[in-house]
Amino acid sequence: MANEIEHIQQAVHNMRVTAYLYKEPPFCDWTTTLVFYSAVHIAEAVFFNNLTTRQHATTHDEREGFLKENNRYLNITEHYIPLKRMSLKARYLVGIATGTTFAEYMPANQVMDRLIKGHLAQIIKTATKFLSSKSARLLKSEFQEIF
Amino acid sequence: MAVKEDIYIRLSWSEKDKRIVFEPEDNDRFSLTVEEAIEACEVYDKEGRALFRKQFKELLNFLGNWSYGQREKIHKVSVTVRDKGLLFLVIANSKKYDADFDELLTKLDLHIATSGDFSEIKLSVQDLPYCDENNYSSFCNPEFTLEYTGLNGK
Repeated sequence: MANEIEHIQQAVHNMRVTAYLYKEPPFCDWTTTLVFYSAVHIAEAVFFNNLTTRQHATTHDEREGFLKENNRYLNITEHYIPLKRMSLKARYLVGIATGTTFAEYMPANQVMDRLIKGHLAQIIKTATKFLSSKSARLLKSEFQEIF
Repeated sequence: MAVKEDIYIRLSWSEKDKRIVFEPEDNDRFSLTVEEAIEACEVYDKEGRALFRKQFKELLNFLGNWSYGQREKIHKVSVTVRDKGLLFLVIANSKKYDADFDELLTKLDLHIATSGDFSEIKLSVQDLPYCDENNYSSFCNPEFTLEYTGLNGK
């Protein structure tokens, strides 16, 4: 089980890959998936640092449950669950043969504006209040540098 | 593989009564679905199970009412039982991302999660862009899925 700083480092790693895949031509489906997995690691870092039992979620449902059950994480949850929904669509949209690719469903500018500079940025803003100063500094500075 | 259209349990939305109506022939399957939902939501004590049964019916009416309010944006809605909780699956009418609708889905999800009226229920909300049943059926439990009918004449 990773500790707080390791989760933050993985979130930063995912953000760097997100930026790499966002370059022309942008891979909207994989960038969306990576944005969600950045949020997953940020949530895990928050849990590690705050829940009394230092809980670690093993499934997406369990993680969502932890977030929803803890009212103090509301500002994270409200931005986490749309990323989770979007990630599922990004991973399965072609597979379910809707006749629409994810990039047609959600163009690159919306991935950046809504998912990265919207939901992910808000998750980071709130999460830093629950993280150690070292992790919070790293997360904020890397996000600003990458995006 | 083609999916039979009558595989899911039908919940007819009554606009007049603002509640769902069961097809009589689906009653037994509905009861089994409620029990399966209780297991999925991990409600173990007797009182909790009784409360769950009450809340589950209220939830179905609530979701029906919500869906009716959003009927112009919705193609199909269903509640399906998963391993760990329930899924409210919304198939949109559009194949394009709709930011306003996305926010409504988040508000709905959070409302159910935080409302005391649904304290025993674990539910996630998931939307998909417009697609037909053959495509979204992989998200639905073949035995324990409740599909709304009567929304916008569908």
